[in-house]
Amino acid sequence: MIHTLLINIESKWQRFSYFSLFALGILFLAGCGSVQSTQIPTLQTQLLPTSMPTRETPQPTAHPSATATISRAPTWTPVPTLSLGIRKQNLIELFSTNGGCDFPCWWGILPGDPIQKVFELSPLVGKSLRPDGSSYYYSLSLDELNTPDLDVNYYVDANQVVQRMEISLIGFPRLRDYYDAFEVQLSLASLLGRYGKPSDVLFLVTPRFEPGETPRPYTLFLIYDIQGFGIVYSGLVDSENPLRVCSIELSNHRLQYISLYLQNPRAKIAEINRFNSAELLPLEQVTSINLDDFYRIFSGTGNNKCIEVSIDPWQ
Amino acid sequence: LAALTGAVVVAGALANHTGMASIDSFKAVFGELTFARSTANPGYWGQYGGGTITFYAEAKQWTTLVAHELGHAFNARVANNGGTTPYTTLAQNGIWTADGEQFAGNMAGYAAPGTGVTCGNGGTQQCIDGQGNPIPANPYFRERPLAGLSFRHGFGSTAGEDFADIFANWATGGFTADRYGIARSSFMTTNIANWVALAMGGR
Repeated sequence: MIHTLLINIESKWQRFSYFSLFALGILFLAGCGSVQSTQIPTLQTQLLPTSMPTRETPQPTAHPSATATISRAPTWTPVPTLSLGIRKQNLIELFSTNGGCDFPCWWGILPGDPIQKVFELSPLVGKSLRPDGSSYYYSLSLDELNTPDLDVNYYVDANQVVQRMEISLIGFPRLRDYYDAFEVQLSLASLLGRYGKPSDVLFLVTPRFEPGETPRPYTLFLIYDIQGFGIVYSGLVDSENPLRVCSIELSNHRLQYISLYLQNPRAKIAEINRFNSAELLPLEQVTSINLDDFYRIFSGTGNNKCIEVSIDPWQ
Repeated sequence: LAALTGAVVVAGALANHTGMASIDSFKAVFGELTFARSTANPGYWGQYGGGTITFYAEAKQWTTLVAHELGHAFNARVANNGGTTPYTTLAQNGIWTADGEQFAGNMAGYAAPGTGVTCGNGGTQQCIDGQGNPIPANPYFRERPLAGLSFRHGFGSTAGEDFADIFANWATGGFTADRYGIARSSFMTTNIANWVALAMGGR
């Protein structure tokens, strides 16, 4: 039996930086208002005398070549080294404003833009855009731990035009300085508020493969066909059956990662299914609520609701 | 029969490093290994322990599942023969992309150059920043989704589960073609011959 449970949970944070909003409004004034005329924002690029820190003893060894190759690659340009503080400030502003555009745009870059435009982000994020098979990527650390917290992948065609982007964000417990910015662009409530009711909401509970695997991992996939993007929230819950999944807050340490698929999100379903050894299923099949209910429950600020998800289909 | 498919795939991958036929490679590497099928439903698919792989009622996706469990058995075989195990190698060395980005391995012992961050010396907190403040971090890097693997049958941030999934993706050709899959493939290429030799040492 499937139940729907709406539970009020005290919101852990309501912080909002008016100063940041004001500053960002000025910074991105030119970029706001038109998705087609987005511009790379000009943020701080203070140079430091030292070189970029690198990891200890990296171990590059012989490896097989990727199946696709980049042709007509753009010219490489040196990237200035930024202090952690300036880099973090730039990144927070990029997260907060998204370059003045909506998904499937990311940080001012739209599918259809030349990859050369993406290179212009390098001085802001303090890292080179790197080729990887048929794509380019930024792999960015968001704090002093210098671990890869954010991957931004740009898939290009033979003419070096961006066809789609994939963004993967992890490490939420460490990234407190970014919570307000994440909330603006990536929280479930703000997403629903900005883009409306999704075309589809899919759910997946990863099977328990071996003993001792607690808690349970889940994947929530929202698809927006009209806009052409999808977002995955993957987290952990302690409950068994039904799982109780509550409002997705970016400050919640049980949230493991967010993935954004900017263009043709349905193409990712098979890959997600395979990785999790289970199948994404429609919301209506695993809960007692429908899409309208989901939108009503989780949209709007300060929502503190939960839904209950039967894991029977994945047993 | 279902389990046999996975075993055959793993045996074929091992044969590339033993110079023997697949079936002989399997016997030499794993020694005496029991596959058990249980009708019990404990809420999970399978487990390895004490030379036996047990599959429970709800087990499915046999080829990859068997390969994952054989990854655990492989580690045990190396350990039993006194070698440095794949779990330990993975935890201590980690896995790095070609451009120097670590995405698997223990946090303990990690130091981010130029930042003052050190890990593994802060009691319950894994990492300490340059001002002595704790930084929340998992003891093992395994946060990135789909980082080089096209499937997983293990969960949790441990070197053991990560290795079993690496082993299974290696045996079944599951590494992705991106920088993470290439790095995981390189990790196996670098170490598999030595591990196979160690695993075979006790036959």
